[in-house]
Amino acid sequence: MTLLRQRTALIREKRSRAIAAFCGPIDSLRQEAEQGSPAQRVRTFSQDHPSDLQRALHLLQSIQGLAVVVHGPAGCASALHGVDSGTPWTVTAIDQRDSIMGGDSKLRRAIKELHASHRPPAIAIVATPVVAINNDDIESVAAELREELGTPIVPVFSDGFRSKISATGHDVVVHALLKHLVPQRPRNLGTHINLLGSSASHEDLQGLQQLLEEIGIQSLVFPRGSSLNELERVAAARLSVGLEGDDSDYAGQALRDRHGVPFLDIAPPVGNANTAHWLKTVGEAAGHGAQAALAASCHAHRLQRSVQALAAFNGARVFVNLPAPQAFAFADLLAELGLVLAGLKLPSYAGVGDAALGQLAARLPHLPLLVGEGQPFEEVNLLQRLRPDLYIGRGVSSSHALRLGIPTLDLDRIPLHGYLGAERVAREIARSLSNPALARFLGGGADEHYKPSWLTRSTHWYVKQEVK
Amino acid sequence: MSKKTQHLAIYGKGGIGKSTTTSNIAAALAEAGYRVVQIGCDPKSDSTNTLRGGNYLNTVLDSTRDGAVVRLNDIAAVGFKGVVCVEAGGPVPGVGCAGRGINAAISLLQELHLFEEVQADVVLYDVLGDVVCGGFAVPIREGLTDRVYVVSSSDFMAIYAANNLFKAINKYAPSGGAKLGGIIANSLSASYAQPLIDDFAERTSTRVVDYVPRSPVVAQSELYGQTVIEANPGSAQADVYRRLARAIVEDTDPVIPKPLAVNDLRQWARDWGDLILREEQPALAA
Repeated sequence: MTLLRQRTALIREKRSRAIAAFCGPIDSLRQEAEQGSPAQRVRTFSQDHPSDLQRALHLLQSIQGLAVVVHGPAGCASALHGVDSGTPWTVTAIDQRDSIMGGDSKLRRAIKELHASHRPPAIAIVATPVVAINNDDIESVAAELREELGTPIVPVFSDGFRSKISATGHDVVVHALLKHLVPQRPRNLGTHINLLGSSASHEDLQGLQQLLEEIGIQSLVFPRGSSLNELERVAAARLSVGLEGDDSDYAGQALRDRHGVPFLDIAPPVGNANTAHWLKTVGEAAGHGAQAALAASCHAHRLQRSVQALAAFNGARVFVNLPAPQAFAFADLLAELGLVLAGLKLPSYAGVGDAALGQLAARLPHLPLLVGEGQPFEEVNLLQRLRPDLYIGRGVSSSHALRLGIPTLDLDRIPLHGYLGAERVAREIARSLSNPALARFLGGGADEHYKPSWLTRSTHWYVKQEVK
Repeated sequence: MSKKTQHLAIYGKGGIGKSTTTSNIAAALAEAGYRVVQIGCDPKSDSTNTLRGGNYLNTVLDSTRDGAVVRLNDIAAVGFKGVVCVEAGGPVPGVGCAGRGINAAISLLQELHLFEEVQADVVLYDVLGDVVCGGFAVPIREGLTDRVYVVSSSDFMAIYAANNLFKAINKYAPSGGAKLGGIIANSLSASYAQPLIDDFAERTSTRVVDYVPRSPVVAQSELYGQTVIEANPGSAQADVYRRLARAIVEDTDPVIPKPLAVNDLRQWARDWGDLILREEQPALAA
């Protein structure tokens, strides 16, 4: 019960002792993790990286039926600009005077105007750094207008500076949704399970839902892309299944503690073997074990062709930039495809007692590992040393690799999970490795953003362990 | 009289008598012919009450409501002997950010060229309490004020607040921030009060500008809604304020204080506690 009793979620650094900075061989991190928790390092030079506010807005605008009021200066809503999600949103655009005298009246007005113009089924108020500093009482405004407008109003306490890990924004949104929009677990449970995912694309998650349907399991996804109707059914699920490690843990634990929904926290279904294990485990937990085993066997047979398609690239070296659970599972997929993991970048790492890290470190103890969001200098520096044949990541991060002439694969465009993901990833890897000319042309083989003297520094030059 | 405007900030723990002292200094200087501006940097907005009969004054921050164009006449009132009174204002308790309010109010006064318009000789900033955040340090940063004075009694918490102010001055002075004029020892009555403050000044390489004794005349004048200079001009207390005002305005040698570390300050206080106990015990026994 304790998680949702709090005003908001703890920052990741405290909740799961996650770290935002590390640079070195993976086995060093394993040793630190085994001795307790990895040391919290600092960057003496840090580049742009997303904040928890951006992450919170990104997730909120995916919730269907929810309107968003950003309570802060106009720029704090920039993450919502140009995003065609259909989410009605507004920003209170507080000014100097509001920052001094309090911006409650503007917040009230913004909520009422949004309510009058869109009649949304629910409204989220997102706190921003200025509001966090001057302590506007958004909780009271939410309580007052909830009553007056007859609409659920959800305060989301992001602040943009307490945590170095943007995933904290995910937790504060999940906390707010579960606390204010998810009703009590009913006596008559549904027949569905919850898939707890937030980073994977809609297509990716839909693929997993279809896979579960093959074995007779209905599912709904929480929180990414959930509708308000689905939120009402989250607590009625037979089971919650985590897809994204620490991201899923918060929702899984809160649903288990408050509503008694069992939580299955297993390695994500990335790659053939991991997907088979995931499908069988989920199937057994939901009472569909036999169907799951049969489906896994059929898919495994079918996927042999994907592996054969990559035989020509056996031994190709791949750099992977993904959240930790996906990255570790992806290493297994690469091994299945006969490819070599050359280096790894994780946005953060919270792996106390993490078996996946241990297994990977046992197999590749010297594997270069970077932990940090953004930080293109460190990434470029490492990529230049490693010169992998392929870079796999999400979104704009792959542009750094392209500038170095390294072919890239953007996992925002294709599914990653399940058999569908394994198949599509294998096909796209083959395509990227077959056509390296475009990347070489784009990159010219050098990143001119950094002077050579910088790039000769060690990758961990700016990652320091504080001495207290 | 100096041609250059002197900007002087007066700090001290809440309730120690900053506004009373500042207003009496302002009144004494005005009486002596100086053009004086007093700016209350406190959301309570009551710094200048005794200079202008206790009437409500529209604050600088009140005037900025709804993007209104602010004029000097809207935010300044002329009080005793021509002292120009301004209240920065701020949020109601529990809301907003008062430190940021002081920052914004002073910026607005500069934009309005208050000091040039008034052709002030002396501008006094009466600043709320301790230096609890960057907003309350604005008057001592960036060369805004020439000197800072701290009002302190012999109570430990007042000394503690003074020591904190010294830390802020020590931090900002090397980069152009204000230096310390000295300590204004206020409400002194106990026999040990003066030597205690003298010792603190010596330990921190500062000095005491003057000693203001506790006096019923101060309370009586405030009940009339006036300064001592106005209500009891012939009193000894009025002369104390006149002497203090003269010392402050003629002060040309400010210092950078050397604040005590927290543990040193506590040990110093303990030593004084022991000393006072030893001194008082024979009297109590008798």
